[in-house]
Amino acid sequence: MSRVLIKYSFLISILLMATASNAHHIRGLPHYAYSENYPQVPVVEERRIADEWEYIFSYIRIFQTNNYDLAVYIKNTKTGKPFKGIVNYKVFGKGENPDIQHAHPTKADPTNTFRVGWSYENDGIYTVRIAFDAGGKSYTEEFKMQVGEVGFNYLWVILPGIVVFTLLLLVVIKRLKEKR
Amino acid sequence: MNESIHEHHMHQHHMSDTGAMVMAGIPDWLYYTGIALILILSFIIVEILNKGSTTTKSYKKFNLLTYHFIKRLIKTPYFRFLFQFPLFLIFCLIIYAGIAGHGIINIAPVLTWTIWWAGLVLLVLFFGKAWCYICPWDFAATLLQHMKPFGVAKKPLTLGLEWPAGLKNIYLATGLFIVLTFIELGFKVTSSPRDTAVLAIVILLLSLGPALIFEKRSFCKYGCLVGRISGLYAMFSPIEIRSVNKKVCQNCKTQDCFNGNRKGNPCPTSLLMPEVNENTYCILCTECIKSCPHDNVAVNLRPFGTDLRHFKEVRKDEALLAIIMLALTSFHGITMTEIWESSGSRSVTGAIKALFNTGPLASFAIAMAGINLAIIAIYRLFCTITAKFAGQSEITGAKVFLYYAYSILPVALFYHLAHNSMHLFMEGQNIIPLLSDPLGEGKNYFGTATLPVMPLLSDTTVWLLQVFLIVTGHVAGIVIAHHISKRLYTDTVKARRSLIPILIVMILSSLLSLWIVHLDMDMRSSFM
Repeated sequence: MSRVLIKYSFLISILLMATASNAHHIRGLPHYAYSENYPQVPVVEERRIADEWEYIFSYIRIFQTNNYDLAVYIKNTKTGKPFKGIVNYKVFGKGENPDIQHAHPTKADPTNTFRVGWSYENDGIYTVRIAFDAGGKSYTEEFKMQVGEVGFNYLWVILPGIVVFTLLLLVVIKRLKEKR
Repeated sequence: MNESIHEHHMHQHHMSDTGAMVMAGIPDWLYYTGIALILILSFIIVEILNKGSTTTKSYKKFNLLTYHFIKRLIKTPYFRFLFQFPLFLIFCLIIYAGIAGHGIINIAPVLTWTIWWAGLVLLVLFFGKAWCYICPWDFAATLLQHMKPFGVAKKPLTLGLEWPAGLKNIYLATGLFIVLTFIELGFKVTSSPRDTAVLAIVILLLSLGPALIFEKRSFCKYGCLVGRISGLYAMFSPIEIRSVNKKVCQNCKTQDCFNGNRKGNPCPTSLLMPEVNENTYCILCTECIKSCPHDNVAVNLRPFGTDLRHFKEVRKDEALLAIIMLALTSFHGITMTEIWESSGSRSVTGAIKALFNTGPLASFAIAMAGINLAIIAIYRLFCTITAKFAGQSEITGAKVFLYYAYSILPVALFYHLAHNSMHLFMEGQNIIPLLSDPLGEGKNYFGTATLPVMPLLSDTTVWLLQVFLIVTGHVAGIVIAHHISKRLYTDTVKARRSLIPILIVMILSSLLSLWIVHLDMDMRSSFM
């Protein structure tokens, strides 16, 4: 009797172990963490602790458009509670004056995240400035985001290449003349 | 946009008005302790030096080549290649990542500005011209000219023209250093991968172009800003290449160190071993060690600051670069603080904008010129006061300027180190996630892309280190100034009198350095 009990207990324990470990594999790729091996919407995320606030900033490109959704989650590191007031967003490109930009106020959604979405005419590097007031103090934080592709002017490669090639050619011509 | 997730972890900091992330400056108690140390030590050191120091021409040294395995390694033709080639590959990676990688998440700026540029001064302090030994630009030029990565070249590919006589000084390098600082800070290239790649290409062109036009490595000797700055700083370093016995050199008929032979290439900076008295123009290539038929070249360990106490001659171009380095490094520090650029007209650039009604770049240029010229002018003014105060008519303010500039070098060097230590130890760890994802493509080659990274040192340790370095530079400056005073003035009383105004300059410089590290400072790589 006891031998049968041990046998069944062993079988059940193996089955339980298998169930636990395979649970995530049943419907597709295994994904034990948010950023692991799992088909996600493309997103850039940055975590930062500044003063008494922890920020998680992310931006997502809406599929095949130049629309980007921006999201920031702000948590007080002392109380552990998320910020729930108003967060003002400003987005500006290189050379643009943020002081003359209109601030866009946002309220927290049910997940305590502040979201905005904009369409960008030009590709490039943009600065996202978020500002909020808490406990009688004002806080400002900036993040960078890349919209589309940031190109490179290949003249910076071609022109130096031409200069070096020309010099090399002159040296070879001189060498050949000396040989004659 | 990359089809993946990037996560970046940051440490504690706060935000400046300019939008960059900021590290808190040294706390008040440390700032005032630093001030007290500088003031007290100044008088104690001067008192000790006046009481009992003697200036001797010899100094203690130890030839590392007495160890045969070291000598064998250095003489191995491919030994330098083992260092240069990996550096060259990293340099190529910087260019490639800068061109093809993500516009923000990219290894190029962090490798260039946080690791290399900040670490370079530390390398010079301990290993002198070691950067020139491992220089990837020199490797590229050698590869192009010799058509092989190492070994002796019978006839390198070059037009072999002589370097223009008017440029046989380091004014070109000084100019390039000023231009680089303007571009680096004015255009904020330190956070831009694309701009970093462009600068890397320009530097490569500056290495290859002159190598194909002029004889030997003339550009290294006169034009390379990295080589010349590290050359001047290397006067302080505890390593040197010199003759073992100068008499052997004097009797040498072949002068293979200069001309080269089948074992070693000619000296790339056209130095003749017995005439090498300072580290400044030696690029530590070790070709002379390979070519010397008498085994008469030594790699010596020596006390810090030896060249600054025993330099053979003063040079106007070197003296000017020393003062410009003090001015530019201080200026560099100021531009990273809130007093430089914050909203409103309270900041330096804000005040200039309001005063001259200029744009951001023009305001920056005016402020840069103004601050640097002011520092140089103050030093020049104190030199005139020194000359008058010492009371020896044939020693003019201009002469004092030339001589005492060498004593300013350690003050500049150690402030530079204090400033860079913040970048290196508080931001250097940002390289770890980027090693796994150098182009910002969402890759994770080594599993470190999402690793939370902390600064290499705590902020308190960095603060203590910064104050220690500034105080050390100040003390070293006084010791060297004392030696220089004895060289400049034969009369002991006049020598002592000349020290007083220079001591005031040094105290002002060191207090300026302390004040700058007391202010909150922007991080170099703003996103990462």
